[in-house]
Order: sequence, then C-alpha cells, then structure tokens
Amino acid sequence: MSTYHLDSFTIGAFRGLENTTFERLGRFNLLIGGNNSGKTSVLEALQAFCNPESPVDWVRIANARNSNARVFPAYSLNDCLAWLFPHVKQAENGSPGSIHLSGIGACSIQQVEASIQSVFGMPDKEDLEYFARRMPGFNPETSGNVEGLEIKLDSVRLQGDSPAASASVTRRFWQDIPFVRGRGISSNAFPVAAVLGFEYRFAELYADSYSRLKADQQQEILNLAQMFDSGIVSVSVASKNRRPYLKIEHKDLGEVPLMVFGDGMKRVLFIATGLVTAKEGLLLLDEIESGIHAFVLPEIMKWLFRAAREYNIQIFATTHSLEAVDAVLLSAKETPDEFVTYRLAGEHIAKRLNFNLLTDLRVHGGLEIR
Amino acid sequence: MRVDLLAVEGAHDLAFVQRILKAFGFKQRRLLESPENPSENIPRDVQRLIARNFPTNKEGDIHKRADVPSFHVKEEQCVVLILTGGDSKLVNGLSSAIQTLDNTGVRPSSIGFMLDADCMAPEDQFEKLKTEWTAKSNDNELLKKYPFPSGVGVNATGICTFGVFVMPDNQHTGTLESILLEQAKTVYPVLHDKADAFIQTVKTTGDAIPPKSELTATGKNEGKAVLHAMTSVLKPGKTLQTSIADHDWVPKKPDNFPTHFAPLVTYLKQLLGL
Repeated sequence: MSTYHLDSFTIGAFRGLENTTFERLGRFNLLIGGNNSGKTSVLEALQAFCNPESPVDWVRIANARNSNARVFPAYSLNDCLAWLFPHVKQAENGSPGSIHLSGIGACSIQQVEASIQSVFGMPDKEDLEYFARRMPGFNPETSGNVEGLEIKLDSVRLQGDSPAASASVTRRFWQDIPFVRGRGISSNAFPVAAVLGFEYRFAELYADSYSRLKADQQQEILNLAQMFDSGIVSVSVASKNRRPYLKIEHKDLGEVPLMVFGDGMKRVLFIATGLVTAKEGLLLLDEIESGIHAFVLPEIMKWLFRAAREYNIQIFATTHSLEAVDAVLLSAKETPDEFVTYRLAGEHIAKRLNFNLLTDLRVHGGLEIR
Repeated sequence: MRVDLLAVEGAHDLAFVQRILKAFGFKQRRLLESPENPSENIPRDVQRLIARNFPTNKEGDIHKRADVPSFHVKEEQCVVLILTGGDSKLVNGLSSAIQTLDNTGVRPSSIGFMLDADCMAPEDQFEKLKTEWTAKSNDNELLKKYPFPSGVGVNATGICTFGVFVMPDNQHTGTLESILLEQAKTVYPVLHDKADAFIQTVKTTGDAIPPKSELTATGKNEGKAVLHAMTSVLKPGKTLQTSIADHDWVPKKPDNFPTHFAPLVTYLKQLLGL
C-alpha cells in the first residue's frame, strides 16, 4: 500500500547524479547539501520523471537553468538538453550516457529511460515552417542538412491491476532552430509544478501565465495567498501599454501592482500557483527560503504543509538555509512522519534524516547539518 | 587525523578526563580559525561539532545553552569530549556527534561513554544506557553500524572501538567523587580530614542542616559536600571543575597515577589507544 505518490525514487543516472536512492519519502522532503551536490538536479529528475512522454517538456526543464536565455542565449536548447544526460559515463558512440529514473508509490509511472544521440540531416517540414513563422526572413526552402540531437524516451507505467504498459517517444531537435514545436505536457503526464528560486524576480512574466489559469484555479490561488496575508482582497490581471501586469487589491494599500510588493508576496504567489497546478501530484521548490524573511519562514512552512495535505501534494524542496530547516522542523511537529530530510553528500549518497534525528541535531544540539 | 568521541555526563567529569589527557601529552585546542595562532586551532575535521546556534533553542529555554565539546590534540589524533549535562542526554550527545561527523565523511576511530553509577549498580546503569542506545538505533541506519558493547569496558566488534565506563570502577556504586575522595586523602590529607570533620559535625548537629539542603543526615551527598568544602578553600567561590583543572587532583605524569585511577585510565588507554 503506497503512502505517497512516490514512496521511493531512484536516480540511476541523471546529470551528475548516479545510483542515488531516496528511500521512505515523506509528504515534505527537504534536500540539503553543499553547492554542486545535485539538489536542483534531483528536482529536475523528478520533473522529467513525471512527464516521460514529452521530449519538449524535457527541453523546458533543461532550459530552466539557462536563465539568461531570453536575453543572452549563450547556450542553445540542444546544449542544455544534452547536459541533462550524464557525461561521465558516455555511450560507445561518444554520446552522453543514458538517463535512468525509477519510482515506487501511488504514481503510475514506474520507470523512465532516455537516450540521446547526435544526428545530421534535414529537419522535418513542420519544424522548418514552425520556425519560419517565428523568425521573419527565414526561408524553409533554403535549409539544408543541419546538426541535431535525437532523444528517445521510454517509460513503464502501472495502472491498478493491469499489466505494465510501456511507451516510447522519439524526437529530434535541430541546432540553430531554437523554437520547439509541440505541446510541452502530454496528456499522460503526472501532475507536477516546479517553482524556481529566482523566477519570482521576473514577476511581470507571471501575469501572462496567471491569466491562462481557469477561474477556479485563480480563486484557489487567492485563497492560498489570503492564508499568507489576510489583507489581500483580490488578485487580477490588468494591462498597461498593451502589456499585462498583475494587480493586488489590498485592505490596507488599495489597488497595487504586484511589482510594488516585496519579494515575499511575489514568491508566495508563485508557490500558490505551484500548489494549485500540482494538485494530486508533486510540487518542486528550489531554494525554498528564497525571497522570504527568516521570521516569516515558519508561517510559510505551516501554510505549505496545510496546503500539501489538503491538495494531496508531495513536496520536494531544496535549501541552503538552516533557518528554513528549523522552520520546516517546527511546522512538522504535529505530523513528524511526514517530514524527511535528505543530505546529498557526493559520491551518490542521499543520507536520510528523519524528524527525530533532525530534532536531536538541530533543536537539542544546534549542530550544522548542511 | 584520528578522531575519538567520548561523551561524559558532567562538567567535573570533563575536567578530570581533560587532566588525564593532558598527562598523556594532549593539548586542548580552543580557537576557531585563528590566523595568529594556527597551532591552537580546532582541527577542521571536527569543527562541525560546535553548535551553530548560541544559545540554542534547546527545548525553547534560552538559558539552556549549547554544551560546547572540548578538543584535545596530540600529533595526528583528536579526542573530542562531549559534555552532555546529564545521563539522560548521553545517547543524544554521542549519536548526534557521530551523525554530524558522518555528514562530512569522518568516521570516529572510537566512541565511548563515561557515566556515574550514582546510587544504581553499574550493571543497571549499563543496561539503561544500552536500552536507550538500541531504541535510538532502531530508526537510525547509521547508528546500527555501532552495536552497543556486550558489557562494560572496551569492545571492538563494530566498525569502531566502542566503550562504556561506569564510574568509579565499573564494579561499585559511586561517582567521580569516589575517585577524588581517595585522591584527596593523598594530596590534601589535612584539608580532607578537616573538611570531612566539618561535614560530620554539620550532620550530627541537630538543626544545622536546613530543610531544603540536599545533604542528609543519612549521608546522601556527603562525599560531594566534603569535596566542595575543600574546593572552597582551594579556590573560594569557584566550582569543583575549576579546582580539578587547577590543583593537584591529577598527577602531571601517567607514571604517577595512583592505583585508584587504574580502572578509568585503563579504559581510556584501551579506548583511545593511549
């Protein structure tokens, strides 16, 4: 009998992680560890695992680290995509090694494998036409053979008592054709939302995605935001110079654009949106403390725990902050079994620290755990 | 660097072991990353054992501050003495230290406890500690690698040497004071006799013991009272711990250790490879 969407998760190979297992997962899983220990990679692996039939979404996951992509695209989509794959162990043809992910729990997805190889050839007509529509002056008729990458995604699912079903998707991505055609999320995807540590700084972009949410989802975001600040009356999209922006009606401040608020409010709205879209699935929070004052962290964590239970969400979060660890520990007091910390310690080890152990180390000992 | 962890109950136990280690050539390191005195710095391998919260939020009481371990270095060995502030905290103190070191890949060469028998038989105190350690190990994969010894003394069956010493000698009921009282008769015989006579007088003088005193006419805490009366002369206004650190309770050379030190010193030698 599964307790959570994922009771255990194994990264056989993904980016720099190898043979790393997260056993006895909880509802709230906190990932700690030094810089470059692979915390964010774990979140990316979970996100990829939830959508194994959409190579396009994998590109999006890969590109999330390329935060300057819109302004200064130093790395191509294909560069970013290739770096999802392990580079230490390469395939015989010199391509990066394959990705292996597996999970056990209520989530129907059991296994995901992905391979990548370089290709040279003529892009599909649809890809060229899609690119031409977005790049004035580009003539698809003049395009010759170009370099690209071919990605093959294989997955295995279990649905109740039915036999395991496997699926396979192959897709090519072409160098110099930076727009990718197709839907990001497949209809078979497991619900997952990722909230990055820095994206709240681009709050103006949020108005667009907020406006695309259904009315009931917007209402839920408002409800969640009101749990954080009871002064919020409404959240709505307005427009200025033909550009959408988000405005908040507040009991004390009146109608105020979101940009006027501090980072905490922006971050809460991003997380609330994540909660609403991750219902019955996984919420991935990178740098959970980002933008939030240490004094408010305990309240935010309690809020997150409440919402996660209400929406049956399993949370995976990363942090560098001892204050964030202590805040989660405090808010997990009533349901200690739901909270687990994993310390990524290099050499493919995820050390599991349960509530009692973490209490000994932090509350009784005041000791360093990161 | 070899790292050894020894959890002790009280401040005076700590001071006593510190003096023994000093006699064996260990030097206490007290500084954190001092560029002026690098030889005084606490080794980096064990710095994570120093609490990051000061005062800690220990049970929410700001006056219950974090106990800082003491670090004693000789050549390539560092003995860490973990002061736990009571027998109920011994297991937490040692297990937290093992876990914290493990997070940086440091595995101790030995781990050990040093506790009082108090008014219990040493074997009962040992069983109590064993029960606590086993319970703690049940939900801690790392601790399972450190099986509790089958008896008092030093045991080397796990991944490192594991020892338990119940004062005064693993056989009799008592505390560190039992050892110190014996030593007092040798190093401060006159002072000891006078202090003892004073306490006996107080005990036998009708209403000399106020109602709230923890010294009873039946002799409970009598040894402690004698030692602290002596301390009041040796170091007026200071604690027994301070006197142990400053006076002649422990000979400066191991060769001069008296026979009543033998059980504890043998334990430390076996545990720490002295």
